[in-house]
Amino acid sequence: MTAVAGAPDAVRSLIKGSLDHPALLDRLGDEDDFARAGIGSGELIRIALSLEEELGRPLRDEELLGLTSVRAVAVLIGAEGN
Amino acid sequence: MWLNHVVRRGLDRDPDAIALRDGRRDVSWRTLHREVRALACRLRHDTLPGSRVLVLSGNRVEVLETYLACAAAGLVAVPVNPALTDPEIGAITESVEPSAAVAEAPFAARLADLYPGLPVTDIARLPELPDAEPGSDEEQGGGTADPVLILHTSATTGRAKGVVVDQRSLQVNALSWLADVRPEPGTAFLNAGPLFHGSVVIALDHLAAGGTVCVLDRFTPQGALAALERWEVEYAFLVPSMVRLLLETKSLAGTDLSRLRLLLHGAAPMPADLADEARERLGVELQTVFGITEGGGPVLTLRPGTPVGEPPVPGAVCVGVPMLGAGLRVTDGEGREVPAGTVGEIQVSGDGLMQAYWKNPEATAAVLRDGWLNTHDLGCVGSDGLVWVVDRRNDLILRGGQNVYPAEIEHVLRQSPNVADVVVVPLPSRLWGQTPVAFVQPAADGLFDEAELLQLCVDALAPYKRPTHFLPLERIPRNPAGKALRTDLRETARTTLTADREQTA
Repeated sequence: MTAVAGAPDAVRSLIKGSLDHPALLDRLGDEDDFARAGIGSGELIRIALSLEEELGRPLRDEELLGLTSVRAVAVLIGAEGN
Repeated sequence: MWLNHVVRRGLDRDPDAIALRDGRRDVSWRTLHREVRALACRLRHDTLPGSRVLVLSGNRVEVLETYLACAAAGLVAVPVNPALTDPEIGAITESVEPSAAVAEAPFAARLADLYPGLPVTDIARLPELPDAEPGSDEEQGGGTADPVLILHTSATTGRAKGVVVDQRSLQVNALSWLADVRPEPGTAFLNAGPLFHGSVVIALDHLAAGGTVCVLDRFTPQGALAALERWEVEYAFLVPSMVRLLLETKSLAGTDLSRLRLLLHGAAPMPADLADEARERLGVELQTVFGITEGGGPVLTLRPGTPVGEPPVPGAVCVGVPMLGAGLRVTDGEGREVPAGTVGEIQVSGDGLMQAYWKNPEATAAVLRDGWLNTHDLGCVGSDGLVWVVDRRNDLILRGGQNVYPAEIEHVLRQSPNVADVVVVPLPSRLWGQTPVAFVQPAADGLFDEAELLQLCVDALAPYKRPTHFLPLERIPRNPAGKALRTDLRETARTTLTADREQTA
C-alpha cells in the first residue's frame, strides 16, 4: 500500500483521479452519497478499480456495494492498513 | 400474445426449471407464470387496456416480470432509466401519461413528487401479490400488433424519443436470435446491461428460447465475473467497454470461466485488439451484434469464425449479415440503392421494426419510410455479402454503449446567460468508446465558468450524458449557413485533449 492509507486528502486524491470532473468531489462532505451528488456508475467503477490497484487485491462484493462515500473509501483503505 | 406464449410454453415444458435469476432469488417457470399473472391482475385494476405503465427500477428479475405482466394485461411498459434527473423523468411522464407505475421504493418516492396520485406498485413486493383471481384470463393480453414497450432513446431534438415496440417485433427478434445465435433450452445467459436499454430484447430472446436469464443488479466488472462463475453462464451480452473493464479487473485471474462459450457484443464498435485479447484471456468465441432500438434490437450479426478479410474502407467494422427476418440495403442521399462496395446509408426492414416514435410523427417520418428504417450509419456491402459500418452520419455519441445526442447537452448549456453558443462533439475514449466534449463560446470575455456549466449538467442530465470536458472558444466555427463545423471541432477536441486522463480506468 502507498501513501493513501488513512490520510483524508490522499483518499480524496485517489477518488478524484477516477472522476471526469474532480471538482465534483470538492462539493461533497465525507459522508455524502456519491450517486446523489451526481457521480456516475462509470466513475464508481473506476474508483473501485483504483482501489483494487491501491490495495493490491480484488474487492469483495460487499466492499464494492459499500463504496458510496469518501468515508467509506477511507474506512476500507484504513482497515486494510491496520 | 407472444410473451404470454413464451411464459406458458416454459411452464408446460419444465415448470421447475429456472427462468430468471438474480442475486436475490431464482424464479422458476412456475413462479414466473404465477407472479406475472398476479401483477397483470393488479395492474388491470388501475388501468384501461393500452395504458402506459412506468417501470422505474434498478436491475432485478421483477423488472422482466413486469414487462411480461404488462403484455399479459394488454398494457404498455415504459422502462425509465433511474439515473435520469427529475426533469428528464418528468418529460417522459408528461409524454406517455402513465396510468400506473411499478417501481423500487426509493424511486416511488420520486414519482410521488413528480406525478402525484399515480398508483405505484412496489416492485420488491411483487412475489407477495395474491394469485390472480380465478377466471382472470391470461389470454386477454393484446395481439401481436399491439404496443408492449416504449423504450426511450436520447434524441437529436434534446427530448427523449419513445420507440414503440409491439409483440410482433419481439417475436421476430426471438426467432431470428434462435436462428442466428442458437441458444438451447436451459442455456444460462447473463444480462449485464440495464433492463431499460434496448438490449433488453436479447434477454427476452433467451427467455423465448427456454433459457435462464441471469440479471446483474448493476454492472461492475468484479460483479460480472463473479456472476459468470457462480451462475455457470454460457452466453453473455456485453458492450465493448464492459469487456475492457473485465480484462482490467484483478479478480479475472482467479475466476473460472470454463462454462462461458459465447460472448456477444454490440452497441458500439469492438476494437480488433480488444476482441483478440478477449478471445485469448477469456477463452471464448465472440459474436458481433449490430442492433438499433428502432429496428427492434439486433438486425445484423457476424458469427464466430466467419472470414472477413480486409476492410473495404480504412477503419470500417464488419457487422456480418442480416439476421433472419431482417432486410438490408445501402442507399445514396436520394434513397436509391447503391452497388456493392459503395458507401451509403444503411437501411433495414422487416417485421421487427418499431411502429413509430411515440407521439412524434415528424421524427418517425424522418427515419421510417416505405418500410425501411434509416439507421443513420454509413456503410457498404462487400462482394461477399458482408456488411461493413464505416461511420455514423449524424452526430450521435456512443458512450459505453449508451446513446448521447449533442443537442440534448447543448440545450441544457444554452440555459446559461453566460453562454453565447455551444457545440458538443465526441472525443475518442479508450474505455468508453467516445465521450462528449463541449465547446463553449462565452457571452463576453471572462464569462466562461466551468463550475456553472458542470452544475447545469448535474442538475439536468444523467451522468453518462455529462461532457467530460468543457473547452472555451472565442467563437464557434460555423459555415455561411450557420451550421457548426463539427468535423473540425472533433479534430480540435482530439488534438487538444491528447492527454486522455482515463488511463486510471
